[in-house]
Amino acid sequence: MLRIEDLCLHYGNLRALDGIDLSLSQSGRIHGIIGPNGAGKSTLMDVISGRRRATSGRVWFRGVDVGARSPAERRRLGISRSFQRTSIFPTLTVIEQLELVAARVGGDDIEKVISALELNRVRNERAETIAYGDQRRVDVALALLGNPRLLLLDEPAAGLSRAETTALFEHVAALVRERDVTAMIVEHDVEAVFGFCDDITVLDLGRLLMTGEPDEVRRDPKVIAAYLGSGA
Amino acid sequence: MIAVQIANALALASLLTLLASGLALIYGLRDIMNFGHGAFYMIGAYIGHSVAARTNFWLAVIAAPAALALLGVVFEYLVLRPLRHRGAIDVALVTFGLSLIVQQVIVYLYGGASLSVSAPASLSGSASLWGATYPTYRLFLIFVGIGGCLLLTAWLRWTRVGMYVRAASQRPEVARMMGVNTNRLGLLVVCLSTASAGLAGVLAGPYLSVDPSMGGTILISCLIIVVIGGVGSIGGAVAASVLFGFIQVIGAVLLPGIAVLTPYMLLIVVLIWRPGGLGGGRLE
Amino acid sequence: MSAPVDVSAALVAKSMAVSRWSAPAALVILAALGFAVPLWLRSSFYLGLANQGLILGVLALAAGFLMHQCRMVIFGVAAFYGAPAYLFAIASLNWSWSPNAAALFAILGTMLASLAMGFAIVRAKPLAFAMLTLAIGQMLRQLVLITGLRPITGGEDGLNIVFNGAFLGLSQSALATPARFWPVAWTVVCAVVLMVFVATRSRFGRILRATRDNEERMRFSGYDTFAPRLAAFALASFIATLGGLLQVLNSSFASPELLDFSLAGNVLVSALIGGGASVVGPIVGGVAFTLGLDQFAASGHLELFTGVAIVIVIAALPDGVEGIVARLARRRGGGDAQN
Repeated sequence: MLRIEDLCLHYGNLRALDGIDLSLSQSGRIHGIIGPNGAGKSTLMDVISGRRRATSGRVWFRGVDVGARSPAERRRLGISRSFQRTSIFPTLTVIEQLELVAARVGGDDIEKVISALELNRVRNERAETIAYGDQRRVDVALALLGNPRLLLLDEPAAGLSRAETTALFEHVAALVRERDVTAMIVEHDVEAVFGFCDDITVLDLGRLLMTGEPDEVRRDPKVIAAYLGSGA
Repeated sequence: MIAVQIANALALASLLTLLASGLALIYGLRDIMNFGHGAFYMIGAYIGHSVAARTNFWLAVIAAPAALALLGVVFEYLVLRPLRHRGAIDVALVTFGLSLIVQQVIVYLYGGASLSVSAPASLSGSASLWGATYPTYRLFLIFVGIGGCLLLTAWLRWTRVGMYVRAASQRPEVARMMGVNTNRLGLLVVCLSTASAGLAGVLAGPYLSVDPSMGGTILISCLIIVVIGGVGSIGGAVAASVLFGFIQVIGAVLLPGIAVLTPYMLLIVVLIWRPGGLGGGRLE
Repeated sequence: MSAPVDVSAALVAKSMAVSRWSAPAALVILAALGFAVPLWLRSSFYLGLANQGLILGVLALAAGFLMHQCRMVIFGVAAFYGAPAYLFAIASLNWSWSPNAAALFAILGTMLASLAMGFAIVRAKPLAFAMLTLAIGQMLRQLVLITGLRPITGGEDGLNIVFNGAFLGLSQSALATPARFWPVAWTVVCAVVLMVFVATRSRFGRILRATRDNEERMRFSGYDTFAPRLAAFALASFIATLGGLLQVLNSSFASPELLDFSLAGNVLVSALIGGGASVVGPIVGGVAFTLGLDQFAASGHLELFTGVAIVIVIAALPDGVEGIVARLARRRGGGDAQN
């Protein structure tokens, strides 16, 4: 599904990504990416989604090297993402923007996405007027349309309360299982990550520390050191 | 003579550097394209003419920038502050409108014909430059240009205020969070900008002509230079001014007809190749 | 003394903007009524001014469309005013082409150049885009003044054009007569208003506005954000080119003054004072501005008027040029933003 080969991104002396190798072969699973601040989590997501270009290394998606593909092309191939800083269309209503995106990526599941993310209440409201939590879910909804194969969520719970976070992750988990999608979630909220993710990758200073199931990760001394050491 | 052409290019570049760095300062710090910059230059030239006619040139060199600095305060409080939440296009258009008004006021006060300003006695002569004779005044211009650059660089690099300006130009939110008083800084930069435009205007008197259209003509050059130099990059603006000066002068010698077009083509090429301009620029 | 027809037209347009289908109906009525203006407005002088107003309005419509739908401001709109004039002149004087052929040449030539430029500059950020158009416009202005090209461009004096025949049945002198020129101008006005009306309310318009509001998200939703904006630029260029063509047909003259940057001020102010109420706004704005300009021309303070108008109009807008867009969207309830 997704294979990342020796991915590096440096500018100047800073190595945002330093030789990342990662492979996600099973669908229907949620893969968490965690790490202290500055670990390169969002950068990794940016490179996979095409927002930024790696200095070296490859990103393979379903056997295709997507390195040269634009974000629009990657979306059409099936890689979609949500954004850490909510990126929606403020002046359009919820239903309007969903229809807008669906018109491009495939439109038969708008209603399912709306009900799955509990957006029915606000469907006819202009996006700039709805609550922050609703806006975050719209952001995710836009990424869910058109049956993407790889769903990248960048800190989807940013700014949400514990209850909202749990609800959001439950929705995402249900959708992932149901549609057999592969989801990759960058998240600071460790509780949510350990609660919902099937596998977890830990990054630190641009390097991959380890990948494994939640229990393994929790106990790994390198991971503990990275978090305690940097005071995250 | 190559030396003469180089000197011509540098003289023009000096004038442009003075102007362009002022514009670049505002552009870098406030993200504002001041389309009225040429008007400030023009006001400086006319004040210079009036003062020089009544007293002497050197007094004008002091009076004009001082007056323009005061005008800068007015500009900041009456124009820029009220518009601070608007987009760059709005400010560009309003300042352009104001420049049209200023131009009319100048015509009303001085008439539309071009005026002459003579260089002071000490500078009106020629010096010998590698065998050729060269107007002393232009050498003076070059001297002022280089001096101005050095002063500005030194100020930006080694004084605390200069550091604040650099920081706020590159990362405005961070600077604000660190407690930099961006309002006062903004005012300072505007006054510096208008003063340098005024100085350029006075100095331009003996070198170019003083007429109501001088602001518009040089504004376009200035805008091009600042954009080529890159947002927030003073060094870029200086480099671009020199480049510009050379292209104008050398171009006029080598390809007289087309030379006029080269600045625009340069801008187009640069902006397409490097949308952020040539200089380091803002980190956004 | 402003022509009452235009004031009432504006009022009609604004009140009609509310209901969905009454807007098209109102436009059709206006279009029909418009042809009758020369019957009502007898003064050749004011009719001539109205013609100028329409031409400015056409340019303002093009600029306004691009501004509202794409947040792109053409500082260099004068290029579209002057280029068709010069191309028409060259074809007529140097190659003795008929006015029809020369007009076609003027349109195609300008469009070709515009598209070539557009390809390169549409991707730029708003201010960079505006500056680039400014540079291109200024370049053209300098180009026609080059001494080497004087035989072709007439240098500072410009070119007096003699038509080789009739343009769509109208002789050169007919086109110079306000009452006879009006139907030509009005037809173009109706046509371009229709174009903008359709473009704005179509899916194309929705995509443009969404791209304007969040270009990144559009890209990450699979949309190509370059092609629609290039198309919008092409449409605006075409409309502006028609404005320039109208100018040369009416005046039979091509001169460097046509390429002055200051036209941008007039155009943008016209686009703004007409408001975003409907597609008719910029046209009304163009006429209103021209009439105002005339008042000041008598006192010899043309540029003063322009300067003051620009400052007042922009300063008076609560949120500025971009604010109109946001406010319009709010007024319409988040649906199809008008114009």
